[in-house]
Amino acid sequence: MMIEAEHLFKRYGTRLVVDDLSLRVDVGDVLGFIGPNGAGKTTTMKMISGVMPPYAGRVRIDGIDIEAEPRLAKSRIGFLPENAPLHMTMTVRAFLAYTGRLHGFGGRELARRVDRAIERCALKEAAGQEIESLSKGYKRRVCLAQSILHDPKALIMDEPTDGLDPNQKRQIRELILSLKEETAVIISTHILEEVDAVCSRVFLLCSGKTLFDGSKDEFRAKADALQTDLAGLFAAMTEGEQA
Amino acid sequence: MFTVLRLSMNACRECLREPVYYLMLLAALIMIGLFPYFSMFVFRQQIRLVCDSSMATTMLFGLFAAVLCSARTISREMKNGTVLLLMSKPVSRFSFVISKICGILVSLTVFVFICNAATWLSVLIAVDQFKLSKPLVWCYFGAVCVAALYGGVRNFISQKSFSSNAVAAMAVLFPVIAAVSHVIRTKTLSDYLLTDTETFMAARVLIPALCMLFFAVWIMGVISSALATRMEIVGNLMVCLFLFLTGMVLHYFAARTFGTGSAGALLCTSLVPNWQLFWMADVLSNRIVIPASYFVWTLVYSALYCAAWIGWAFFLFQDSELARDTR
Repeated sequence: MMIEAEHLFKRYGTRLVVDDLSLRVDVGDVLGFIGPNGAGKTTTMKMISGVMPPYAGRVRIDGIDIEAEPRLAKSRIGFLPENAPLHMTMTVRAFLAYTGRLHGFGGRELARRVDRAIERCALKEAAGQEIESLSKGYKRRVCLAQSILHDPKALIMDEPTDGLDPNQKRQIRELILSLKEETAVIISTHILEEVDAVCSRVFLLCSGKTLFDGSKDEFRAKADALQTDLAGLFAAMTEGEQA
Repeated sequence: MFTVLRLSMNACRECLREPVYYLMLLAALIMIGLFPYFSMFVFRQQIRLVCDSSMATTMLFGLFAAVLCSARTISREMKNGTVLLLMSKPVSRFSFVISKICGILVSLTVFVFICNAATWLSVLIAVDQFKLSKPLVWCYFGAVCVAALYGGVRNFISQKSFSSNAVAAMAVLFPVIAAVSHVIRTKTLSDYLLTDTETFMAARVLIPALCMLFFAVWIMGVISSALATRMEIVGNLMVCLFLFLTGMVLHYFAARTFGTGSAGALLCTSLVPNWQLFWMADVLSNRIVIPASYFVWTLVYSALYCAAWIGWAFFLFQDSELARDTR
């Protein structure tokens, strides 16, 4: 199993934001991590990517415990944070080279990987430009490029298509689908259209609790049973929990 | 090790690229360049006035630069989430903190280095009690303009950062002009110096005194970096200003209250940095060469103080929630 999270808990002060969450994602899976705002999606993403330690529980990437061997585990993770935070004064190429060096690449290997990431994320035109001068869509693609530069085995994406136009969304989705052959992918989103377009599995979270973990077909069957669409099912499940 | 080096270089580059860093440096240089004009209003104390004022300017602007650099490279990255991106790489929290601090300290070292070279040049401008050295005044402000022009041209042609290129040009121009001017001055004034040494500021007195400012600004840099892991710019500036002002007077009052060398006085020196240790204005006015032992002792004090605050920085960052606005 590529990504394993077992009994994760997280508190902010006295507030429990993730409550006994467990999930498993293997290569070939694209897990749609959905939930209303404040459900604990981003916190869970941070814990799985090793950015933030859980209050309790364990995360393993490719069998490596992220707390016991963080460097090794993180070298297998590609993380796309929300809002595409980047070093704005750098050019696209310089930024990708910088993140590549943090993964230990150098010389020709680094140049090759940077070129490939630029090509895969359609950044050729913007490669020499300062990130600050780019549009929101380009910034997101730069962020995506840094997350796949080192060929990660686990790709964790927080709102990957947020702020993109329909064409850009389609390109990113195609890229995600092409990556899933070699990578376990988790996509955190509250756009159900995204789940329908790229995900093979659905994980529904609300107030830190797991409400659903299964295949997309099972999720759709549940909606059909209630004679509603995915949005209707989402509302029915989460509103009851939030109330 | 290489990760720390790469992150440090990047942090330093980010600081130097900040327009506000350039503006702080420019403001400090203009003030230092104007102090020789004020020296026309004093009698036989012109060098002292220039030195005292320039050193105070370097220290105070160094404090502001330290707070701004740490706020831009640590607080802002924590707020906008860039830190998430770095922490998801094979980078430990300790590497992140230590590299950010190193990067900030290098950029502050550049800041103080340029200010010190400018101070040296200002002293040379004001050597003569009755007239300023006009060619050196032109050289001084010409260097500022040439540096800005170089930054502008690099920015226009190659889309490189104006700020970092202008700073790099100043880091070359000011020490070179100061060194050349010093050699010319000491040659032409050698006879005059033999008869009236009071008006001449010897390099062996001035340079060690100016070097002490590095230690002071490094301590400020480490303190503001540690605070930046938890505070925004205004809070950081307030605490740093408080420590700066308290550190100027606390040890005097502690020594008077508890006695020199007492446990109480030592405790105060440990808690709040004693800025008076780095303030060499009296030494300069008395033309005393700073003993090597004092220099080394101050360096050790600074290193220990910085190490303690790096520990604090790590402790504060280790426990902090990252990317507050994206949560």
